[in-house]
Amino acid sequence: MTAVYAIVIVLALVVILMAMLIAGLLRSHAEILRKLEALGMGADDHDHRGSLSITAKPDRKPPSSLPGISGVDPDGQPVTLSPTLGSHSALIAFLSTSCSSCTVFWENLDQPEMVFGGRTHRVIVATMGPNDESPTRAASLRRGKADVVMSTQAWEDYEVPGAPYFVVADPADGILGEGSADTFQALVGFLEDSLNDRRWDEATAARPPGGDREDRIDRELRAAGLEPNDERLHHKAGDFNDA
Amino acid sequence: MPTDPLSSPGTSSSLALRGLSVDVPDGWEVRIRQSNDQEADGLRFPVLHASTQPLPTERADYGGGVVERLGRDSVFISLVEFGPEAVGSNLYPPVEEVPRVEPSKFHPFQLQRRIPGQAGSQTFFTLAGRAFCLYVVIGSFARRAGLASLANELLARVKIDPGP
Repeated sequence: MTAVYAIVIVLALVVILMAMLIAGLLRSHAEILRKLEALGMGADDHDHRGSLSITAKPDRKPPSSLPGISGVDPDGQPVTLSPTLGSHSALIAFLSTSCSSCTVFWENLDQPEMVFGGRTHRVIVATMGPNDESPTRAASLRRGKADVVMSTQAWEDYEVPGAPYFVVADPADGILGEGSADTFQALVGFLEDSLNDRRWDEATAARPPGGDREDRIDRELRAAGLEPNDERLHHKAGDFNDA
Repeated sequence: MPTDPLSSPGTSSSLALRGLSVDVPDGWEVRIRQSNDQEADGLRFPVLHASTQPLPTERADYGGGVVERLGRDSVFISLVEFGPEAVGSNLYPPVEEVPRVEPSKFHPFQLQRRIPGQAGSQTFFTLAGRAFCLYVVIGSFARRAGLASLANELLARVKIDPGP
């Protein structure tokens, strides 16, 4: 009988321990979800564009006036990059080695050229200079073959308010847009939307004014058996008698 | 002009490393780094790369990784230092300033690696007690006059100080 009581007590203790363990796991899970939510990566955050504010400034600078990004790489080697050289648009990601919301961008911007919206972009990661940021930390955060330049001057030239901050510069059109994004999906969404809008704009600009309306009129006339140059469409003297 | 990259890091478009410095004009990219090749005594000499098109992070000393993508209106410049044994030798004659390139010196046969349409120029010299090879690639042999002038705009801004 005593043995049975002992087994019951042991089982009760095991159940209590399991309950405490599960409660602890649930609490840490909730804590993780809360932190993800704060980073804009919550499980229910389907509309990633909601946290984005990248826009072109009205006083957009021409490409020739955009300053180069001049500083050193995390290995201390001097470098000057020009975001408007070449044939690709450049995504300049102003990141800090100390901001937690930059982590996701450090991890994802891992190549000097990346495809967004079906088009190749040059990717330049710019931190502040080695007097304001830790070069060794920048080196450890750099992923893959990412092109990282440490330049306080670039932050001043591009009037960066804080990290993370993004500038999209185009060799032909200068700065297409700039602003902040707190998730990588939001950034990708902006770049894709920006490209699609440019294609739409180019297609619209290539179409003659009123082209849609004229096409519709021609289609309707043909359906009625009238070609665009049909004589019946043109008035002749005496067609109308105002008398 | 700073003589060391950390003396004024990230604050101007003047770059410098180990006595090689350049005031970068608009429309150019420049990177200065240690050579890929190591000398017998473990030394690595500096290499300056400049181009009118984007310079990738991974490049060979003589432009591998860059020249393959060089546009017809583009220029690539490599300034490679050699060891003290080359200083003042017949191949590396002394000069007073960083040499300029002349259109007549460009030829497709001067390329390290033949790429149709491109041409190259190589100049060896000694300046400030240091020996260098200046290697310039232009995207179009037919446009060598204009592209040589473009290269000289950058070369006029390169300064070589006595070695550290």
